[in-house]
Amino acid sequence: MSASADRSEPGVSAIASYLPDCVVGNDEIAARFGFEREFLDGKIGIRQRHIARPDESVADMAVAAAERLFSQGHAERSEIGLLVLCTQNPDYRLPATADIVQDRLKLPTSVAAFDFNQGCSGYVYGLSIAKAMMAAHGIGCGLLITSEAYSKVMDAADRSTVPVFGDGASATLLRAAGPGRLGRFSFGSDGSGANELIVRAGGSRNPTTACHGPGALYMNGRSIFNFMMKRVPADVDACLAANGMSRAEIDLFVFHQASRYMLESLGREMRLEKERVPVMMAEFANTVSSTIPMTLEALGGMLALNGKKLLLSGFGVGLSWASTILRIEL
Amino acid sequence: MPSTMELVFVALRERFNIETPLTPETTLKDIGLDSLDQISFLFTLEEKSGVKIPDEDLDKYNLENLGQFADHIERLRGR
Repeated sequence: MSASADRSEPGVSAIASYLPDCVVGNDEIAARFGFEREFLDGKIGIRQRHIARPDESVADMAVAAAERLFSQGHAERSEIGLLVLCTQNPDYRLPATADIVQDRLKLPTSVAAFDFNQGCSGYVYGLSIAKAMMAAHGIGCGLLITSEAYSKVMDAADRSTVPVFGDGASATLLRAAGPGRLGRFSFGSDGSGANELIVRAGGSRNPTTACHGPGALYMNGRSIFNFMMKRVPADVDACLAANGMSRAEIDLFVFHQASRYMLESLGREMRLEKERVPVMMAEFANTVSSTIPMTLEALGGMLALNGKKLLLSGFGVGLSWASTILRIEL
Repeated sequence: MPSTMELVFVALRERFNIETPLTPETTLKDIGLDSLDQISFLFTLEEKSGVKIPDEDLDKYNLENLGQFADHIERLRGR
């Protein structure tokens, strides 16, 4: 990050997450799909996934994550001027889930609240959106929420997606001059790969198709793997260059937690030492836009990461990717 | 001692209960393995052969049919 970074710019102040109570462990996945426990534990790197109850929505999880943040005393509700919510499974087609969450959280009606549709790159996109809006409009305190429930659109018999994805939400508080200093961002999009990770049902093209059977979540994992190996190293280097930094200056590369084998392959490709590429999804699985904040929390949060320079990189559905630098100076 | 090709056949049969005939030209797609199954197959092959096969080798070496997997294990053993 360049030395000229403005210390009054909006930065990350606190992170909290929420996981649903219902847990699906590897015994059940192994029995259902015939995978070996060692394969799921070791290779995929996921021991359990949390699944939203049938009556539990993306808004419910978003509220739960934000309530955790407020209960830790990081901010007063009256301070919040911005609520940005990242999801691909909103409660309704309209209105925006962020409006429902604003009301449920009893945030001021002066808050700017909206949803945006991104998947695994969504947290980094959200940080950029929140930072930019706060700086542009003089908003002192903003909330970025990621909340995702792929279980609602998965085919329960799909052995490519069910073992990998979990539900959950995160809430990140940004403050003017917050201690988590954000650097410059890099972004990328390639819609030619849209069909590689897709839910074909429920949008304007197939509005009445059910989100199961042919309309369920489809993932070509091998194609996503190849996309990651091709795009992410270049994006990481673009982000580092934009910030005037080198790979050697980064303490931890916090990648979207897709699976252990994907992160280990990426680390090998980029010649990064294992200890600089945290693999933390064992207890929460691939929660899409929430894996990066959940990893930051699992690493001990802002306090434990004080003084560290982190590179955050999200990549996946879209295809879409984004990276930034997070430097924590408490 | 079984040949590497036989070892690949055994790994595949045991892992996925395949009863149809397998040849060196049989591809993973022919058998209907999805992406997670392909990684699972690599995992089983590693256990059977004692050779570590990086996941990225699937595409780096364009591993599609079973003969190519056997050749790749031989290549890794020769390093």
